[in-house]
Amino acid sequence: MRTAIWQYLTDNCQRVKTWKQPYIAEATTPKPYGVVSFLGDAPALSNAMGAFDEVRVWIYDEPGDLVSTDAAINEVKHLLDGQLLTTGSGIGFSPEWLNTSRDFYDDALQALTKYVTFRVPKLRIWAENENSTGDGDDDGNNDEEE
Amino acid sequence: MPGAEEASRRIFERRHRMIAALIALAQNAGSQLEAAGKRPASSGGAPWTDRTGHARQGLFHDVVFVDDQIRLRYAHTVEYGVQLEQGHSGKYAELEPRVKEHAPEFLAQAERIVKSR
Repeated sequence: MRTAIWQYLTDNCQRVKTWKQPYIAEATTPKPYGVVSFLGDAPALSNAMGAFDEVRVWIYDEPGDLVSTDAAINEVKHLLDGQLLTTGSGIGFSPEWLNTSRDFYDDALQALTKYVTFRVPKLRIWAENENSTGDGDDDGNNDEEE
Repeated sequence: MPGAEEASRRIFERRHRMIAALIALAQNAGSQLEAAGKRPASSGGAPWTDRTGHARQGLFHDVVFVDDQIRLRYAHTVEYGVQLEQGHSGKYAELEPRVKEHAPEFLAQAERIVKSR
C-alpha cells in the first residue's frame, strides 16, 4: 500500500516532485517535498468485519508561502480521495479523505507544513493476514528531541 | 397516565447510572493513557528522549461532562508540545498514537455499558 501511494503521487502530483519516507528529511532538504506516513490500523466501530488503515501525507514548503502549500495539499487531497489503487500483491484499495491539518511551522525542519489524512477501508481478515502497508520501513529510531 | 411517573423516574435513574459508568470508564482510560505516556521511552512510553523531563511529567488527562458530552482529554502542558506532536512528520508524537492504541478497547467497553444498562 505504501509503495502504491508513493508511486501514484510521484507519477501524478504536479506541485510536489520529491516524495520521501518519514523521518529522513533534514532542515537542509530542498523544498517542497512530501512525506507519506502510516498511522496504523483500527477496527471499524460496531462492525465485526471492517477496519481502516490511516495514511497521512505531509507537505513541506519554504517559509512564507502557505498559498503554494495549500495548493499542494488540495492537489494531494483530490489525487488520492476515492482513487482506486492496487498493492503489489494485487489487492485493490481506495483512500478516503478524512481531514486536513492546520498550518504548522516545523522548527526542526525549518519548513511550513500541513498534512492531509486519509483512511483506507479494508476487511479485518486482511488486516490480520497481510502486511497491508507493504513494508516496515519506519526507521524506529528513538533519538533526540524534547 | 398510571405508571408514567414511575417509568419516568426509572429512565432518569438509568440515564444517570449510564453516565456515571461512562465517566468512570473515561477516568480509568485517562489514567491508563497518562501512565503509559509517562513510562520511559525504552518501556513504551512517549517516544522522545528526555532532556529536562518536563514534557514527560507534564502529560496529563482529565474528564469533564459538559453539554451532555463526556470529554476525555489527554494533553501536554509544555509549550513545545505541539512541536513534539507535529514536528518531523510526527516522529515524536505521543498523544494521537496513544489514543488510537487505546480507543478500540475503550469504545468496546463503552458500547457494552450503553447496551447493558
